[in-house]
Amino acid sequence: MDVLSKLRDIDTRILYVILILVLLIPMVRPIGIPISIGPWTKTSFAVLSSLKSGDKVIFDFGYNVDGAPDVEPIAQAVMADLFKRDIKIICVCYNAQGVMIAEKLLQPYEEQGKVYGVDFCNLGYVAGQETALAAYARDLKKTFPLDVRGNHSATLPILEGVTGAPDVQAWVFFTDGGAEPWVRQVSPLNIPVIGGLITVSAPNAQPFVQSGQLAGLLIGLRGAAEYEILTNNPGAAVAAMDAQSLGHLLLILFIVFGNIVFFAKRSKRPIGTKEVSK
Amino acid sequence: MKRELPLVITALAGLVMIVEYFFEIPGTSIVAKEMQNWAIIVAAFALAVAAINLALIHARNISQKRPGWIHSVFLLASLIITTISGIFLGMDSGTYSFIFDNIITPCGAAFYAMACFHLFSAAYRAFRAKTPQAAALLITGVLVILGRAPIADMISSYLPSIADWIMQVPNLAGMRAITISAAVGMIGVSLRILVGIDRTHLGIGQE
Repeated sequence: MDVLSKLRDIDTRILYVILILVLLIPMVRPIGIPISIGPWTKTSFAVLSSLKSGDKVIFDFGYNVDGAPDVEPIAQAVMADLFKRDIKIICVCYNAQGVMIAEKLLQPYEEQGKVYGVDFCNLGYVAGQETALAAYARDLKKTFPLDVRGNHSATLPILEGVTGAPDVQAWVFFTDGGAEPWVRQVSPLNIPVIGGLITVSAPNAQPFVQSGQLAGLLIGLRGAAEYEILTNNPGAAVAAMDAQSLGHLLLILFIVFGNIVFFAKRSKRPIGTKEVSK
Repeated sequence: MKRELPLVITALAGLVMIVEYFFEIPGTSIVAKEMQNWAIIVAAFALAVAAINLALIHARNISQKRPGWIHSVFLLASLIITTISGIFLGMDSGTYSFIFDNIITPCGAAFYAMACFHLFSAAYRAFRAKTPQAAALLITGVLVILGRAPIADMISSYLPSIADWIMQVPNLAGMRAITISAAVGMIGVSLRILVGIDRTHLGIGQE
């Protein structure tokens, strides 16, 4: 078997080992590649930084744990920024797993002194996907009569004067799916809606930002890293950017090298014969 | 009547929701809100039915020793343990937190991460510029992948701008066209359901 055939049919495990090394090494020995801020993050940051102490924001958790590595850093970065500025956060969950995810994210802040029911609350999950979203966007207390800790939502101080979306200053949703449910149900209620999305969902959501239906987008791990830099709070997302950069370069290298091997092999093949690979 | 009544209910329910959304007619918002609450209750029951159905299917797999029945044992055991710990011990209990933090979360993240490995393998073996269209797709993809990475600025200051232009001009135009087309299609399908032409949601088929 010639060299080109060996390269074409290389064991997939070798590719996996190269990938693991390229991703692991910068995590252990950071390179410090500078990170520029994209337009979508700048727009979202401008909206959220206009909020004042005491304002109320709804955090809508609509992702499952399998999408968490890409979306959760966004939630962490925005939550850290809003709590630092004493902005109150009302958590609701579009997905069933969102309840535990929200509780895990809120727990450190409660231990640091944020008071449940005053500074934040977790209203939980209601079945029905977009139908439930339509209901709780208009009337939180009726849709969530009890919160996840068993308190009557009407008695929570943070929900005083809050019926639905028009009574809060912003709605930030985090999802590993599309932004369409929030565009359809929350955007018409005339409050700023910002989406935290996984990277692959971003192209589908960008028309909604240009049309003004979404006030901003935070896209994947890169969006979280940019937000951390803008808020002077570098964390896990910034730390992962070196690995992401090298991972992207490796992907391009694989594509280019694979095509070089393919075309080199094809040019050596006699005319009329067909390529056979493993 | 057995056929007509569900169609009338479908049409009336859809009409109420449409009228409530577009017009301010007294009384419709109260009716619409109530219907939304009913839908939420039905969805909750649907979740429970789905869980019971899943349990029955896998119990049958085990009793009949179908191929892969051992996986059904693991599934049922996980379902029962998680349900019992969640209902009787509570979501803030150590057991439920352990299951969520140490089983569900790592397994979910591992599934997502496997896609990354498959992607890199496919990039080497399958992403071939065999035709001019494929070449254009590959070149565009490479420019966007590179432009989105922080390292792009170190390679060239034009790369992030090129990637942004691709995403905000041709991509946005294409996505807008797809979104509008899908919305127009959805309007057509919804109208067919409301007027009773499409009855697949009733298990009857089309007229």
